Amino acid sequence: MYGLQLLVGKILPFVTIVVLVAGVTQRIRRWHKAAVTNIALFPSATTDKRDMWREVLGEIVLFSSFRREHRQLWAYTWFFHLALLFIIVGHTRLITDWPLRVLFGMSPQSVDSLSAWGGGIVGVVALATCALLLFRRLTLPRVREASSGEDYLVMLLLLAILITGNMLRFGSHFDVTRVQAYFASLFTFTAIQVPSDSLFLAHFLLVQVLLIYLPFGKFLHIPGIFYSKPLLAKDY
Amino acid sequence: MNREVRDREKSLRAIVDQVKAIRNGPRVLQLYMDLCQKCGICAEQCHVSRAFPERRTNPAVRSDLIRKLFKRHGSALGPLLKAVGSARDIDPEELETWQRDFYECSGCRRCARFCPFGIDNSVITRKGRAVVHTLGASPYMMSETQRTSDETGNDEGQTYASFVDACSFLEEEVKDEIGMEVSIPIDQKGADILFIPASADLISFPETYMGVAVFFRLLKDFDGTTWTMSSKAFDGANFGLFTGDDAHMKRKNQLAYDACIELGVKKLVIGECGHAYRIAKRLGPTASRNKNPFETTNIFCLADEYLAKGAFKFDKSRITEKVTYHDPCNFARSTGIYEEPRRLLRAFTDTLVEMTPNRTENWCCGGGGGLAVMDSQEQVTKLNGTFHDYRMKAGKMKVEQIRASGAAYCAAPCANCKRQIMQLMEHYETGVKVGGVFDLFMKAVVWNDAGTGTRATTGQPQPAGKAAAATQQKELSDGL
Ligand code: HEM
Ligand code: SF4
Ligand code: SF4
Repeated sequence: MYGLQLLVGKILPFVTIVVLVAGVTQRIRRWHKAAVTNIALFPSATTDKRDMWREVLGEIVLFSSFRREHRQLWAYTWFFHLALLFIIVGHTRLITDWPLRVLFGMSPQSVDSLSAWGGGIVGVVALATCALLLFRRLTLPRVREASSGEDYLVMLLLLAILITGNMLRFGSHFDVTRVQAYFASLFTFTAIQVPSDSLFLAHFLLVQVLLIYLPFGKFLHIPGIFYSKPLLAKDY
Repeated sequence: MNREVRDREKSLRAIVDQVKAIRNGPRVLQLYMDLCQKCGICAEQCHVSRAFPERRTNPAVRSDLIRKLFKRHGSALGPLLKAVGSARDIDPEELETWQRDFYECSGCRRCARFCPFGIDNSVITRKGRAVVHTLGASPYMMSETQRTSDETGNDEGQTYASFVDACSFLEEEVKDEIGMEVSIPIDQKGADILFIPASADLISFPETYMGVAVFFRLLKDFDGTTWTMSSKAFDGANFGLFTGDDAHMKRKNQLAYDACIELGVKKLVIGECGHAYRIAKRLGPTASRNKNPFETTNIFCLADEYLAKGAFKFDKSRITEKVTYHDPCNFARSTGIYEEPRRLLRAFTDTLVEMTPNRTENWCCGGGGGLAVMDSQEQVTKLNGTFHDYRMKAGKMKVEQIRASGAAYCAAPCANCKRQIMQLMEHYETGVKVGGVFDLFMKAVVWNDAGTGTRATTGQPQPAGKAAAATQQKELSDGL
């Protein structure tokens, strides 16, 4: 147990941060430097930069280009992403309650119940939509024929993360303050206290694997879409 | 034998090198290597993939030909990515596979309209074709057309004499058909407009070309605007877009640029040819962003502008059969021209019916990306059958769409679309006629022979003396 705590809690986080930051910046630098060619696509293409970003942000926030014709898939993915977004936002609580307490003036009890309810719902939605996306990939022939191992592995990894995450929330009597203390010690490099809960360690390990993978595979679409959509929407 | 093996290895190495070089290539290619989620949307939005669903016609799978090779060789993690299936080693028959598969995508860009990440598979297709082209393996008709064009300045290999002949022949034809005196000026310095069609129109679709001559004659009558053709640049078609050969694309478009400068025109007007307009407007030396001393536009925008000014009068009763409009990919999706031709058609006739979907979501005719000119197997060894067979399958969505519209005439302002849709209509025995927009212009327009150089009386009550001239007009609706 101690070895796992050491590895997952004290060593890997630093590797994760370095790989994540270096990997993503390197990739974005490469895109950024590359030559831009005119591939304007109508009707969205425009010569006006502000119009262009309005169009592109609509695409990024609402996934509008495929919403009309692919309602069902759109619903899966959109709610899946929304849930992921809330999960990411929610996890800031593991570092500090400060924004909720100070900016919104919430009491510690109401922060806890928001976390329990909001986090609970979002966790279940993410798990359900993730499972639906995987199911779809396995059952629709045109999707399946294009999929490779990576596409399945990513979804399995996410499922594992979401399942362990939900177990932490619903199953045990997990103490958030211990994680907050751990992150505080991690960021200040002082007397790092890794929680010994094995479910927590499993969840944390899987998340770090995901973050290390991010700069090299499918997840590159997170920064990438900010580059690819403007290419079609910009005319000269 | 040994030599053959060596040649093969050399070409495989060349493929790997060119794929690796995407790392330093344009942003669009780099992004497309990284972003695809294999969500399956493009497979539903591509006419080829819909018409014959096979693994290799799935756009994401086709693009993976390059993507997986790039991940194998363009990334330090190549072996790892290979282990999870998102990278692969090169196949001994790579070139033959590319030759077939990248010529099964018509570059219509419909997939890009729906892809959540805006992945335009036609860009990857064009890269694939470019690699094939550098290895001298483009389908026969593709490389042959480029060669002809480089030699003669036009894709059909017409000489100066035959071009001039064709023009004067068509002048006669217009006179015979509607009794109008038109002239097709060649190399007229100081004209306002240089007009460049696809030169295929001169031979294969003369009606379109004649309609354009009538249009320019009326323009001159209206406000004195003059036009000219150029004997050095009378072909806007450009196979460099199709083979991925950027150098050829620039070279051919440079002819148009030089002609504009030499003749001192104010406007370059491209005819009924979608890809010619896309290159002229966006990709080549004549592109608008180059701040040229002339404006680059197309015949629809020009005609639409004059339509609004009231320069023409049409007799809508002449066209009685239902007409539908096919949006060529390069006019609708790639250059945003889809309302102008419709406004014109609505001025000609009340019988315009729409296909669904239309405009920027229109189905490709199946002959885009240069495919329309290929009939035989074209030395593409892996192709099962001929390109004609292939095109007749790939056009299935289009045929159904035209049938459902109930139209008897399909206006398709692009030489490639025209050829493909004509063959489709014949193959599927629909009886639908296919032509251009300006064919109908000539049929519907009402004019008074007021003599060249004077203002037209079009649209005004006819003075008694002109009545005789008016009766010269032939009843044209029978042509439809
Ligand atoms: C600007 C933000 C984002 C946009 C516009 C976006 C858009 C999309 C779209 C349209 C898909 C394709 C849906 C499909 O596979 O059927 C997708 C897939 C996916 N996205 Fe995002 N995404 C964004 C951010 C994120 C983030 C932050 C994550 C975080 C982990 C994420 C994880 C995924 C995953 C795992 C898939 C694959 C789903 C599958 O394989 O079926 N995305 N994204
Ligand atoms: S629609 Fe776009 S992301 Fe989806 S499979 Fe096709 S290319 Fe990939
Ligand atoms: S460009 Fe057209 S033919 Fe090619 S994959 Fe996309 S939709 Fe299909």
